[in-house]
Amino acid sequence: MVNVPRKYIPYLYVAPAIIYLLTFSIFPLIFSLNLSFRKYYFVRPELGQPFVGLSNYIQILTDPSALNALKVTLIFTFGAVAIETLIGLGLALFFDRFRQMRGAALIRTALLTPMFIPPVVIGVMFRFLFNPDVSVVNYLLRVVGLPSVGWISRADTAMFSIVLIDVWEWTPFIFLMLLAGLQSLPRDQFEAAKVDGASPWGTFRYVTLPMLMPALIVTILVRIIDAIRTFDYITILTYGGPGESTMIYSLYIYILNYKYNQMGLACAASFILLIVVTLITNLYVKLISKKYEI
Amino acid sequence: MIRGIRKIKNPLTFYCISAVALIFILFPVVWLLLTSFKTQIDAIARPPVFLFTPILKNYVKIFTDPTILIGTNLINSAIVAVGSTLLAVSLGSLAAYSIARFTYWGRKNIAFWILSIRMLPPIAIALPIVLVIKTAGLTDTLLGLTLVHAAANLPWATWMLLGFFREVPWELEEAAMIDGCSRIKSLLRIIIPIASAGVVSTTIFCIILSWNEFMYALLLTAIRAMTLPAASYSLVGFGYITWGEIAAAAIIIMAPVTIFALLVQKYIVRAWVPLAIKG
Repeated sequence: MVNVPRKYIPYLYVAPAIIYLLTFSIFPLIFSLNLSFRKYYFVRPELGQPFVGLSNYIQILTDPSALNALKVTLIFTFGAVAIETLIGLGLALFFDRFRQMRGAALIRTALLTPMFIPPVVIGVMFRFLFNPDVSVVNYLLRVVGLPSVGWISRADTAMFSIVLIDVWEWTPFIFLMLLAGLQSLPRDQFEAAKVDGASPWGTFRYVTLPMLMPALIVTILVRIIDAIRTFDYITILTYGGPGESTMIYSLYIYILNYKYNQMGLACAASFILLIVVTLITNLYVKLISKKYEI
Repeated sequence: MIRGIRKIKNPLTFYCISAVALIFILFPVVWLLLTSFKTQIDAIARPPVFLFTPILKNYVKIFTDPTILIGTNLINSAIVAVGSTLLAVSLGSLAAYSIARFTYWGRKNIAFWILSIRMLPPIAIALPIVLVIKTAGLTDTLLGLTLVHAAANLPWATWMLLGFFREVPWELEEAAMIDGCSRIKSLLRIIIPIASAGVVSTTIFCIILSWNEFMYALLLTAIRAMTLPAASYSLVGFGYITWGEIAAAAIIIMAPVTIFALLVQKYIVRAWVPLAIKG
């Protein structure tokens, strides 16, 4: 290798990754930022790309569909993540307590299955399960005496259905992270609480929960960031419908671009999403940079 | 449930709750598997049938029908997954080595900048990426999709590897360098072999993400370079295909990666868990 001054060597190692990410992430972002201030129909290149200032942004922020998409995304994200966290935490505490049971490791592994299933397959799978005509789920509900549900065919239950799917897919992730977090906690504090005669709830509230908090917060933030970008199985399952009841923001951008060919508008809509995600990401990075000494 | 309290540790409680959780988690998968062996009549029967004569026709059909290119899609998926993973893990190793082993100006900022790229919603950069790939003449090519998948996996790969490389004791590398080992040799011969479990975890993780990836595959490929997830999306849209055939296609997409992931789940858990513990 050519002689590189010693102090530049570390930069030489990190440079390929940086250049690669600049090419595929930052460069497209700049390109997209530029387009977000222009009108651009890519099916009609002869119209050019006239500069229109902030009009795309104003159009998005006053579009009822965009506001609906934001609302759907918020309800979906917080609904799904809240339920996942509660069940995931419960399961983690449960498995931590019963970790010496025969077969516990095997059961834990089986519970992780949904995380590895391609989202496209999840879409297909729940198309069968949530089909109002031949739904086996509805059949089982009737067998135990409960009423049938319209699932994805009705606007008032479609959101519930996709939240349920997200819970099915991602609760295992929260379970896995929190179980690892619990098992890394020092044992002696629990012994101390026991000696002091703390109640189970007291031990959880004042010993377990505070110590688990850092892992809990990081896990929840990762889930929030990922839930906001959900695209695949909603596209396959409902394509935003019925009406716009499951029109999540990613799909809204996709449709703006591919159905209406409004690339300028789609880019402006993307930047509004980016601002929101960046705020959450900053919070996440701040939290982990405190703990993660690199 | 709460640590340190040992009274109600009844095995029955454990197995009952586990059974309920397992049924909820596994029932959709089992139902999909059953459907893939059903005739169209059994698949849409009311009430649903649990016992039926299984047929293999669905699998035969999706592999032999000339309008369904599932064999090609399967090979495409494998090539893109392996190619993009090699790229992401190589670039990620170099970057992680630099961040883990040197102290220099901007090191921390570079590390967190790389992490924050992982958080960008793909749809927000997808549109210009499509144009970039188009300009480069790489639309509907395996190379185009491979490059994009590598970019999508690089940030996370770097961070995982960073965690693993930091656990390798400094002294081992110093000893090797005194013996005349160069930096790049010490990365290849000392760090990566010692952290091999971590490198394996990262590799598996990247392969799974690429295999499952849907959005870029949908946007960047048309016919020749189509991977399984994008192909199955167009299958669902076809009117003439039966439920059993769709289910069979879904099983084909799911089986390799899910079985593989469950077999090596120990490694996957190792890749994720440091973030929970150290976070």
